[in-house]
Amino acid sequence: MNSHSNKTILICDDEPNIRESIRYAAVKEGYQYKMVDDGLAAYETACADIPDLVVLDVGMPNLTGYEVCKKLRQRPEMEQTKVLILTAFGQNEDKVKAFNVGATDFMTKPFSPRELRAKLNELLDK
Amino acid sequence: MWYNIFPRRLDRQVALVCFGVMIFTIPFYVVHEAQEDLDFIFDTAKRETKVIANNIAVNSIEHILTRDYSSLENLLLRIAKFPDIISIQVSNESGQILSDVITSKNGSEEVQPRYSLINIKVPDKNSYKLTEYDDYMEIWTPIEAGKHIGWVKIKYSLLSATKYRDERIKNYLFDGTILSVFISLFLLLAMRHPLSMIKKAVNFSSRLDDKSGEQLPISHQSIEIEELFIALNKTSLSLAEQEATIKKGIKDLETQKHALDEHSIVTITDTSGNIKYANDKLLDMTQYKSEELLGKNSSILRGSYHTEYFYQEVQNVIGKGKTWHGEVVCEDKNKKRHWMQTTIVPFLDENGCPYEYVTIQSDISAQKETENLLEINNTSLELLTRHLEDKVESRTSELRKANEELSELNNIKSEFVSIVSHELRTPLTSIKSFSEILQDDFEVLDPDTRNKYLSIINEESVRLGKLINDVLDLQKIDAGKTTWNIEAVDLKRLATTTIELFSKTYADKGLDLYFEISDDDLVADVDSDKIKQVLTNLLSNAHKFTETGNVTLELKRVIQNPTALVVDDDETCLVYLELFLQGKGINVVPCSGAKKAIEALEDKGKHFDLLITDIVMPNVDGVELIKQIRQLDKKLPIVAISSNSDTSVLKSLLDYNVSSFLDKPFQPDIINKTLNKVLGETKHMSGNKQMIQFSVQDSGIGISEDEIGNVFERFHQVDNSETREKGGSGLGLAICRDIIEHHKGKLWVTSVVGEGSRFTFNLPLHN
Repeated sequence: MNSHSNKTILICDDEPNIRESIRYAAVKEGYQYKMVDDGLAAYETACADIPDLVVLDVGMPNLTGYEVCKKLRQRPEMEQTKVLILTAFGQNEDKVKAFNVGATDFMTKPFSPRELRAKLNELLDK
Repeated sequence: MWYNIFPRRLDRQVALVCFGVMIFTIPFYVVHEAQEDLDFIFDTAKRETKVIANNIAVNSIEHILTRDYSSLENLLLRIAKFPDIISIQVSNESGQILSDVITSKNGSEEVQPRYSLINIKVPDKNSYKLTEYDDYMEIWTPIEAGKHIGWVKIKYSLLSATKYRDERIKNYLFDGTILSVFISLFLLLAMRHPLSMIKKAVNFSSRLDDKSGEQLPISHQSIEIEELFIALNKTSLSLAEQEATIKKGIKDLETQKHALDEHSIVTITDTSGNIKYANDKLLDMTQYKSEELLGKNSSILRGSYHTEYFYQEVQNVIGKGKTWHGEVVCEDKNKKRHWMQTTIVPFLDENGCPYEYVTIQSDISAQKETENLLEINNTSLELLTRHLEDKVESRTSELRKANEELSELNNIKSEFVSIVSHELRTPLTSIKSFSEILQDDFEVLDPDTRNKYLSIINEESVRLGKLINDVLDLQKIDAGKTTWNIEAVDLKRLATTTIELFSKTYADKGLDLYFEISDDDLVADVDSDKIKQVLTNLLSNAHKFTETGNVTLELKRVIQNPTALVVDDDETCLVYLELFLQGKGINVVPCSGAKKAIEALEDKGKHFDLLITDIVMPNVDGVELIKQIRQLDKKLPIVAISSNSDTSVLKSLLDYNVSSFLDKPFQPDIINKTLNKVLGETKHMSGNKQMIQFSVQDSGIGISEDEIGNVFERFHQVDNSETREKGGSGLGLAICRDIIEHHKGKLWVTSVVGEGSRFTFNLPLHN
C-alpha cells in the first residue's frame, strides 16, 4: 500500500461489478474508500463523513448523480470536495450538465482502470 | 165552387162589383123615393079632398036648408068629376042620405047619382075625419050652418097615386139599371188603361227573367202605377246587375272548373261514395270509360295499398265537413298503382252536413318514383359521404396518430438510442474494466479473485448478448418485421413443455413450481415460440424475484366482460348508465367525480376497456380531464357525454382521440350504437367472448404501487439494489406485452409488496 492512504474516496454506483472495478482502482492506488449503491445514500454518507473525492454514477435510484452533486455543492463544507462524474451517458451535453452541477471532473463508461487511477491521483494529489 | 163563376180579371171584377152594388142599392133608393112621392101625392090628395069636402059642405048648406036636393046633386055631380073621387055622399046629421054620387067603376068619368034611403052610420064626433083604406080614403066633413046639419062623405081613390108610384118605381129601376150598366161600362173603360199598364207591368216582370235591365216607359197616369213602374225598373236594374254578377261568377267558375279539369283529376262523389262526376283526366288515368265509373262506388279505384283503417280516417275528417289532404294510392283498370296528391273538399248543406265530396288529385307517381330514387340516391350518397367522412376521419386520425407516433417514435428512438447505448455501455464497462485489470495484474491477483473477475466478464458478456438480442427483438416488433407463425396451438402442451424447462432451475433454488389447469382443449391461434418466450420471461422473472415459497402457473378459460369506467357528477345519469351497461354485459366502475376517475385509472390493478365521461362537471374542465386521461392511457376508448357543449369544445376533444359523443338526455339506441362502434373498434376489447387466461403467481418481493405502473416500460427495472443485482435487460416485459397485444390479448400485473406478484395475460380462444 502507498502514501495516499489517508485520502478517502466515496464510490457511488448501482452496478455492483462497476463498483468493484472502481474499488479495485482505489485500493490499488492506496486510497480509503466507501461504497454506496444509491443516490440518497451517497449524499447522506458524504454529509456524515466528508470524503476527499466522490465518484458518482449518474443513473442511480432515488437521486441521480447530478442531483447528488448539486446538493453536495449547496453545502459550504462540501465546496472543496472533489466530485468525479462517471457515466455511460457520454454525450457532450452530459459533460456540460455535469460541470453545471459543480462536478470537478467527468469520465465516460466504459473506462480504462488505468485511466481511472490516473484521474484519481490527479484529483487527489494536487 | 160558386166563386168559380166570378170573373178573374180585375176590370171585370170591378165592373161586376160596381154593377152588383148598384143593382142592390138602386131598388131601395127607388122604393124610398117612390114612397116619398106617394106620401106627397097622398098629402096633396088629402088636402084637395078636404078642400073639396069643405067646399061641398059650404055650398051644400043652402041646398040642404032649402031642401033643394037636385041642385045639391048637380053640385055633387060637378064636383065628382074631379079625378079619383069615387063617390060623394051628403047626409043629414043623423045619417040619412041626402044625395049620393058615384063615379063609374070602370074608371070613366061618368058620374051617376045614386039613390039610397039607407041611413049611413055617421061618426060620433062632430068633426073632420079621415080614414085611409087600401086603395081609397074616406073623408067625413060636418056641414055647419050655425048648427050641425049634415055630413059630406067623400071616398077618394088612391089607385092613381099608387099607379103613379109604381110607374115611378119602374122608371127609376129602369133608369138605375141603365145607369148601372153605363157606369160599369164606364168603369171598364176607365180601368182599361191602368189595367193595360198593370198588364204591361206583369208582362214586363214575367220577362225580367231573361230581359232584366230593360226599362219600362214610366206612365204618369196614376201615382201607384208610376211607383210600380219605378219599382219594377229598379228591380230590373238590380236584377240585371245581379245577373251580370252571377253570370260573371258562373263564367269565372267555369273557367276555374276548366282550369281545374285541365290541371287536376276531379271526381265528385255523393256521401256514400258513388261517383257523380269524373273528369277526362281521371278517365285518362284510370283507363275507365265514363259510364264505367259514373254511379259506381269510388272504392273501385282504391286498390289494396291502403288499409280499411286509412279510408275510415279519411272519412272521419271529411264526414265532419273538413277538408282532407294527403297522398293516396289508386289503382287503375289495369291494376297499376298511382300515387295521388289528394284533396277532398266536402260540400256542405245549410245545416253544415256534407252532401257531396269533390276530390281533386294530381298523379305524383313519377315524382314519387323520383323521390324514391332520390331517397335511395340520397341514402347511398349519405352512406357514401358518411363512408368517405369516416374514411377521411379515420385516415386523418390515423395520420395524426401516425404523426404523433412518429414524433413520439422519434423521441423514443433518440431516447432509445441513448438508453440502449447507456445500457450497452454498462456491461461493456465491466468487461473492459476487468479484462484490463486481469491484463495488468494477472500475476498479482489471487486465483479466487481472478476467477471472480473472469466470471464477471463472462456474465456481463452474456448480459450484453441478451441485451442486444432483446433490442433487436423489440426493434423488429416495432418495425413490424417480426415473422409471426400463427397457428392453432394446444396451450396446455405449450405450458407443460415450458414448465419442464424451468423445473431444474426452480428446484435448485428450492422453489415449488405448480401448474394448474382447469380446462382441456385450450387451443388458440398463436405463434407458439413467441408465447413460449412470454411464459419463459414471466417464469424466469418469478424465479428471479422469489426467494422462498412457490410459483404457480394457472391456465384457464374465462369469459371476459368488458369493463367501463363511467364518470358523471349526476347521480341519476350515473345509475342509468350503470344499469344500462350492465344490461349489455359490461362491467361498470362508476365514479362521481374526476378525481376518483383519475385514481381508478392510475390503479394498475384495474383494467378498463372503455371510459364514458361527462365533460361538464363542477370544478372540473372536461377537456382537461380527458387530457389527463390521455396522458395516463393513450389507447383507452373515450366516449364524451356532451350536453349542449359547443363545437369548439367538441373539436378540441377530437384532438384527444375521443371516439364518440353522447348527448343528454340519453337515448338507448344511440348508446347501443356508440357501444357497438367503440367496443367493436378497440383492440383491448374482446367483447363477451371466451379467452384463455394464463397467470403466473409468485410469492416474491412484490412490486410497490409506485413502480407497478412502469414495469412494462422499456429499460425500466424496478429500482433497488436487490433487483439491480438480478440483472436483466429491462426489455423483457415490454417485449412480452408487445407479443400479447399482437395476439389481441392483454397482459397486466397485480401485486402486493412482500406477498408476491401475479402476471396475467389472456389470448382469444380459437374459434
